[in-house]
Amino acid sequence: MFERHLRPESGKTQEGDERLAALLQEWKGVEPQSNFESCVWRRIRAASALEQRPLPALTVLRDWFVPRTAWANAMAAAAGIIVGVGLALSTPAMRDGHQTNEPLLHSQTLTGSYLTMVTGGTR
Amino acid sequence: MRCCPNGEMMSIEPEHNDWSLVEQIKAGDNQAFDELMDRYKRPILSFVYRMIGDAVEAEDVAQDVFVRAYRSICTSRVHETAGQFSTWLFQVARNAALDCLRRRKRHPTQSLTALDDSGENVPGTGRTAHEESAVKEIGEQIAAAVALLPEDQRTAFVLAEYNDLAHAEIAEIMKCSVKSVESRLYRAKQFLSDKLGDLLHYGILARK
Repeated sequence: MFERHLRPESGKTQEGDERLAALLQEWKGVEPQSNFESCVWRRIRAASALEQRPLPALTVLRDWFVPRTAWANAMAAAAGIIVGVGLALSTPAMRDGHQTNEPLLHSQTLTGSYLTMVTGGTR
Repeated sequence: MRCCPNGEMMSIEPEHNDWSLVEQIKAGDNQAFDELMDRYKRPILSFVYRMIGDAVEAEDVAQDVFVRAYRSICTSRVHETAGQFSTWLFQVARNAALDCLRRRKRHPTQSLTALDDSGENVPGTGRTAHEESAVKEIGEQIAAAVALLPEDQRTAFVLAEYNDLAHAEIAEIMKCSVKSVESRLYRAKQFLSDKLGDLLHYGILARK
């Protein structure tokens, strides 16, 4: 009984598949260009030549830096700290002019200038 | 290896099998590579064209497939243990086609269904100009429908329908089971039957 139902259905499916297959063959392919092989060889030679060419100094330098950005950042930060500490140590805390026990209130600092301005220099 | 360029069956009776040619290439014989290219350029181009839908780009990608293949052979990255040479080459072609589709996604100015008919086989078909233009239009509609398939279904479908590969070989290329291939093919055909329903019922019948 089931077969009787299924048979026409499977026949329909098969017919549908055949029609679809026939339709799909209407999409034509492409033929390789006549110079296909020579183009491939040209590309192979170009790739090998590129590999054998020595890298220019700038590229080497860039390649050294680019993958090491974290390292470069750390080095820059370390250099910044060294320079900052060096400057801080080499600069005298107080120069001639208004003397104060607090370096931040020195007349040449922003805070010191503000204090001088608001107190009229009476401090 | 059976090839099916332009839907036609072609049997190749190689004088040397593919792997012996690979060994010759490794030994520096460039003519052996020419012979490999001659064997596979049509099926590879046909596959890539149907995957990406653009004739000019397909030619470029197919050439790239052979460049990749040559370099892999010369650096001994491919051995006979890799199974059939054609399976390995189709894997390379699939990866190259997917790379191309990814590039397109990043630069969406190029249409997925952009069809270039510069390579269409118009001459020698025995059709009138009117019939030829109708066939071209049908081809474009099929290409547009195939381009809508998900990549895995499209790969399985193109390899089965246009390259006439066995399900087992497709499974090997796609690194999945034969059941998965069959399921993908079933879904692809269902989708295409829906999409191309009008053509299926009227287009072909009207022309017959």
